[in-house]
Amino acid sequence: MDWKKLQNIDRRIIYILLILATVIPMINPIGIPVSVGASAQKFYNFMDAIPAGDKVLFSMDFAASGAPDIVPEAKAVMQHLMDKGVKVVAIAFWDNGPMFADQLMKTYEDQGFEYGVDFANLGYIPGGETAIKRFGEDVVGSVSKDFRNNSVSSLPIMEGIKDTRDFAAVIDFAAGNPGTDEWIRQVQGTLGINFFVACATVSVPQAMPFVNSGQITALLGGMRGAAEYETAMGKPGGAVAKMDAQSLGHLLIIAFIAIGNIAFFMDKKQAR
Amino acid sequence: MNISDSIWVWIGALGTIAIFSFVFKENPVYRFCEHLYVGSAAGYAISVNLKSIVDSAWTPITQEGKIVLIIPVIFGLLLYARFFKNIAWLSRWPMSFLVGVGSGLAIYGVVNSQLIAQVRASLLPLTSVNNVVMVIGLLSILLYFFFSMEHTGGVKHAASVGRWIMMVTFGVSFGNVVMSRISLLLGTMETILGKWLGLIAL
Repeated sequence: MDWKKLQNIDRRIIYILLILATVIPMINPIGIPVSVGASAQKFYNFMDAIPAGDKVLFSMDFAASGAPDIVPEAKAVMQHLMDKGVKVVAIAFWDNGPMFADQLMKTYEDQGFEYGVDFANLGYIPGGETAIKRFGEDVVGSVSKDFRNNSVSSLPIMEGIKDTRDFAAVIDFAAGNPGTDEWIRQVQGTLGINFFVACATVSVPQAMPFVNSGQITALLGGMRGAAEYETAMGKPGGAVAKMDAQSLGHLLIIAFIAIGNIAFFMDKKQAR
Repeated sequence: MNISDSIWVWIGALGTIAIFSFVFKENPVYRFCEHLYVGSAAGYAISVNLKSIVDSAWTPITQEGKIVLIIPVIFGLLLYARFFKNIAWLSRWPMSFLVGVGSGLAIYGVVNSQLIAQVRASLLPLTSVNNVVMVIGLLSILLYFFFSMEHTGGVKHAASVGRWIMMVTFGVSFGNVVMSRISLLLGTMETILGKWLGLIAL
């Protein structure tokens, strides 16, 4: 057998198999069960305990490249909070962030929720770490107009908000920097806010030490985290539907790694 | 099958397929879409940043009488002095200010939140397997990067444990990268199969 050939499979074959492994279960779901991890359950429990009328801050720190991982998390948490009557204020330290916040809120506007009362999109503040510190300590003082050009201080939802401690929780939807590190360095460490992170899967290892130290109260990791949150809510949605495809994609990658290694060792054996 | 009648969904879906065509071979359609994406992303960034300048500087100065904001505006403009040879040195003033403020903020934050808090979180009682693994991992990796003594005997073995633990950590990171990339693929497939072709529920 030509083991060398198996070590150099044409990338087009790999891509086609990967697309088939993800497309087929998306059209015909298998229904692999999703279990809820401890961190997602803690995240859900905290959000579930927030009384109606309280406010939660979403920091939308990601761009289009992180959206497939993070938007499902934001959708799941937003749905939970809206169902409970908790108000949501969004801010962004990435310039793409307000666009995703706007898309998220439009869905609920169509359902009768009111902009400025039930949620608001404060837009984007440039300046990275410095901007996060300023916003953390003086919310209304650091942003004068929202994404829709309304005066921020005139929005009913901003009543009683001085600094980020006035939010029941701050959730950073993060794909990199500025994001989790800066929030922890400049706001969580000094003001002691209830800080949560919903990040791209690739960022989970960097965030885990902060979960262990308690600086992050709970973490949702990527689409899997979104699926766990939907399951905890008892409302399986888009993220749960994609878990079959994700699992089959992983199995395929594992198979390719195994084939590559078997071929490598067999080739070595044959050469002897 | 319920194909979308929105032109924007069609543009998004066809653009995605054009970008995927790179998998087979680089081609003019791929290059066109790549440039279109870079251009539109730059245009969006410029418009959002301009809005930020108008909201946080122009409007407060011209309509709310916050004249003091002229100082940061002048500092900001001085950054562009570097494009003019004879006054390029002026750009060092705002740069020095930015570096000073940035360093001051970062040093306090890093020491307080990323060093002291992390060290405190690592001082764990050895009462569970998790804690034992965590403490052994931490100490052995620190020893691996301790170059003030020769890595022989017991130190060599302990450092080697640290190396193995790092390898496992890299494996975990790679696993997360794979998972993240498949999520990206699923996101684009959702656009094509759901929003565009209407084959799956959104």
